[in-house]
Amino acid sequence: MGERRNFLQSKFFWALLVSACLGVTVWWQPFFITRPIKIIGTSVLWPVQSFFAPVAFELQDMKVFFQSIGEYKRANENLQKEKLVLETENARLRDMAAENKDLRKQLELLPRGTYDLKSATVIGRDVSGLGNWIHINQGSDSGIKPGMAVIVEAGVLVGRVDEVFPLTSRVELLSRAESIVNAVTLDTNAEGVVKGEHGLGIVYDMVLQSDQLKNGDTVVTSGLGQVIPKGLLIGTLQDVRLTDDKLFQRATIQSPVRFDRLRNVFVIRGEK
Amino acid sequence: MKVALYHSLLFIFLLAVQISFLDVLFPDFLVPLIILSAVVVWTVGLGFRQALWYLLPLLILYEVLVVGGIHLLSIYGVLLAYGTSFLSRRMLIENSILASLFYALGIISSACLYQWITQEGFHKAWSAPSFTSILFQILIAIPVFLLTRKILFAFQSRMDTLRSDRALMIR
Repeated sequence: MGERRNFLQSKFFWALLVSACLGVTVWWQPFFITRPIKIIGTSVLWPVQSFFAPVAFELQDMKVFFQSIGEYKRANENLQKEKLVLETENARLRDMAAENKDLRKQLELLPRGTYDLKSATVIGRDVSGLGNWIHINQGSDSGIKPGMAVIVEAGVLVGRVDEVFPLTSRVELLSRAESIVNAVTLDTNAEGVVKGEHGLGIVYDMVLQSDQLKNGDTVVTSGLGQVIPKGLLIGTLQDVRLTDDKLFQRATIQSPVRFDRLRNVFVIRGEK
Repeated sequence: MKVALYHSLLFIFLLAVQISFLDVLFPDFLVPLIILSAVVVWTVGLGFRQALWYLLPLLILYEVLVVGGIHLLSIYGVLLAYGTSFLSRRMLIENSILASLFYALGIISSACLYQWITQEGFHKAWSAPSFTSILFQILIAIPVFLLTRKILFAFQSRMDTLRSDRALMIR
């Protein structure tokens, strides 16, 4: 009897009893009791909650702010990497912009209204020919034919097409020794031929002694032969002298174009 | 009457702090830390049977207000109170710093256990909390427990004084 009374008074018994009662309530779920309790409870709690909730939200914002510092650090590292990529991209685009500007400049200055031009990009050089040959990315498929004049900006003649392939062409530069182009000076109208000086430059040769040559005079194509149009700029005269046999005059031509830096050229396919 | 009113105010305060403060500030915590801390503090301070008179209304009110009915937390709270009473009497560590750590760890362990029980019970996929998460919960649980203990002990002391005054007035 005493043992039973002890058990009934023990904590274990009370824990079991209360848990069992609660278990029955969980199974039963007396909403007719709990619902009014909830309504009253929420009404009573509302003013206190109205005080605590804003404080908690403010603190949560602060917590989020401090937690985000690490995220900002990671984001900053990522941005630094992206910046590097963008700088590289920017440099590439600036290079392209310069190239574009160069092309646009050429297009604006070229006599487009007069000639049927075909733009081409230099895709190779003939190193064995001391840089007197270039390969361009336009060929017979684009209407390129041998003998056509090749120019750059402002209608400066740089050479003529020597060999044509379906997709590419080989261009003979004026600096080649075998290259011969009929020309005339603008100021004195002295006719002669432009030819290469063993790959080292171009000279104005075969000018009669009766004609007058002067330093700084401009040399342009004369149009003889019908293949290369008249009036294309070749360069300016320097160092006028007599030939070795004293029969003709000769002068060095200073071209406004550096042949070793040609990047884009135009082929004159004919007149419009 | 005055004592009952104070107790009601205490319940309102604890519930409001739990529902509108801690649950908002730490939405990842699926367990009411203040409620569990109050269960432990009352059990340690008043003894199991005396504590039942306080913790049962608090647990039931919390569940009714939050869930809408009486569920597992009430039963779990009673069993936690029994377990606390069982251990505290044997270890006698109620009034030391070590005790606070012990109870905080106990609350976290019981919180994890409760999460596991409820999620398994509702057939949800239970994922073991990470070490960082547990460490964070311990760091939060310790001050919450200490604060709750301070408030409840102060309240209990005040109630004892009120009861003594009333007893003296009756005499």
